[in-house]
Amino acid sequence: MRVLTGFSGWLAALFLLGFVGSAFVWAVENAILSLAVGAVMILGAYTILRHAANEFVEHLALALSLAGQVLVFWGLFRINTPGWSASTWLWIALLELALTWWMPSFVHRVFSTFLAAGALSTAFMQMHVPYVIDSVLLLAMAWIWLHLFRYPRQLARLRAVGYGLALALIPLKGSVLFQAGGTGWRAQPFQVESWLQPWMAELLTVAVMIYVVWQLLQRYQYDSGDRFSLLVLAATLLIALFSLEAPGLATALVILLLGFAVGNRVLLGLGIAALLFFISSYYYLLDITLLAKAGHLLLIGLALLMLRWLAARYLFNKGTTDVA
Amino acid sequence: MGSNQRFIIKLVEQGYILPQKLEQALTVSGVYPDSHAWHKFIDHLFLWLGGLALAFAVLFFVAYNWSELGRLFRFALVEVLVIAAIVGYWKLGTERMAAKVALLGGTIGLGVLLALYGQTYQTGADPWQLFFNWSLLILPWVLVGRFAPLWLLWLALVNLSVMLYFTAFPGAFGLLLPRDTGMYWTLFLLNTLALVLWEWAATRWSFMDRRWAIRLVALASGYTITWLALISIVEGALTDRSGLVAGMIWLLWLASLGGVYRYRIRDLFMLTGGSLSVIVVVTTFLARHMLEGDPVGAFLFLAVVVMAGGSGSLIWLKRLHREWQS
Repeated sequence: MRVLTGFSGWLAALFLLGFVGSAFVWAVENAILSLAVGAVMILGAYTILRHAANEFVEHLALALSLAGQVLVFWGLFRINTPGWSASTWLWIALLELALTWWMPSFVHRVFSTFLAAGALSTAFMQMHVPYVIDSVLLLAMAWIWLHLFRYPRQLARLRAVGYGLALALIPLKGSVLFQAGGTGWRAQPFQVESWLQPWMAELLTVAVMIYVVWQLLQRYQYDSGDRFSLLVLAATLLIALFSLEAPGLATALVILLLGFAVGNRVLLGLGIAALLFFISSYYYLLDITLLAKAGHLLLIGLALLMLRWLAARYLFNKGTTDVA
Repeated sequence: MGSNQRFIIKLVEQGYILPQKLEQALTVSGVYPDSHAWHKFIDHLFLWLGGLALAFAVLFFVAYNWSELGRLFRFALVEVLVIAAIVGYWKLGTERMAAKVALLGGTIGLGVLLALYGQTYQTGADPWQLFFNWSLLILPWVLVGRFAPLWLLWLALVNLSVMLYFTAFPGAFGLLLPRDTGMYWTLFLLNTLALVLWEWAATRWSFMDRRWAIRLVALASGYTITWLALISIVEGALTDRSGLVAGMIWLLWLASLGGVYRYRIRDLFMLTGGSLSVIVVVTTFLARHMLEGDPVGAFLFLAVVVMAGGSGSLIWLKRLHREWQS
């Protein structure tokens, strides 16, 4: 149902934009005016949402806000020279963060978080600091889902941000994957030289994975020094290190793990979708030969099956009786 | 776990659960999984990931086309793996998850074997034949396997061979089907038939009663008929016979979907999909006829129509949801 809300809001926004574009051509041609008209539309949407009494009005506000945002982006691109500079993207990210915080609508918040994450990632790439920001966003997502219930007053906000980040991370991590092969839409307009490499981001992702598992162990009141915890952490490290060779795999695993840990089926489904997406795009990664990929997958497969056997034999029949 | 989570979220938001009792509430209500659930999850995760990684490793290895590696060795490798997977399925006990993963691995392996055969002997066969033969050969396993994902894989292969067949012969079945939309009609008929049969099978065999799989099949059916309706609108073909037929069948499909999933099998996902289809088709129809005249008024009108459609559907769906719950 939320997909329906999002889709019809987005479609209505397109028509609304067509209306604004054709009725106020003079405004759209002027950067300051389109900024102003866009801002008024967003403010209008905010006011409507605060007092929204029914579904129709909520849809109207969503469409109005989306159309307003496009006008503001358009103004920002025209004011900044060159338009695709880091500062434009930072402004967009800032605007979307503010909307995430203030707009009282779940769908709007998910959407704004998604855009904010994309804009932030692009801005950092423009500043010659690529890849790593995506892993920082992954850490933020993990933290939110693990501590979701700790802030009851912010629950609605945090859930929306958690979903928005998970949705954004799948294409973001995917684009890095394609970029490593020299293709991908984000690589084309601005090939950046940087000392940062994709594997550094993957290493950070490994750290996030270990953080998630460590936090979960704490939730079930395991000491970080006992045998069970050490074994679980060692196994996690092993899986994470193996997955380094197949980019994106660790990200998908983190989403999957969080989905299960917080009992959220949507997140679990997103994790599975991400996993399939990353594995199939791995086939097209151009840097390494199919033979090397086959070797990596063989290692990962054998390691996982061996870990499963070891876990069933040594871990679960002793360690978990005192959990829960 | 989904409904429990929503319930707990409501309680938390309304302040009924004290912060210090929250962890306990989450564990007791089953939102946070217990040790047994974790054990099962990790077991299945490792099994699926490990099994699929191995199957894909073989696929990539064969696709690499290593010239120093003899033809015989490559065939032997894939054949041994397929046989090992099937023996594994048999030995592990057919109802265990490990056995099902082995069967799925064997199924992928068979496809790799067929591809290798085509690649080695340059049979000159069309790509559609590979997928069609693959789906034919695995049919016995699919029947025996009693496993919904395997049926889904089978259906995906048949879909793929239909698509590739029409890519090779665009005007196929020219007497029966319209030339340019023949592929979509075939896919629509195939997936709708599959949906009807699957719903019937779900009432007979519990292993087929997987809503997520049925919804995927329904998605394929709905996507193709919506697309056909859109084509007939955009091409202005509503006036000719084939366009009119597309419109009528779309309406019929919509009515059946609504009737079945509103009254017989309660499924909000299907009704939401139907609503989306209505919004898209109606908007396209109006846009096609209105945007040619005064675009300014038309844009505003269309925006209002979409918002009304979206909110109207949402109100209806929410009311249904409440009605079903009470």
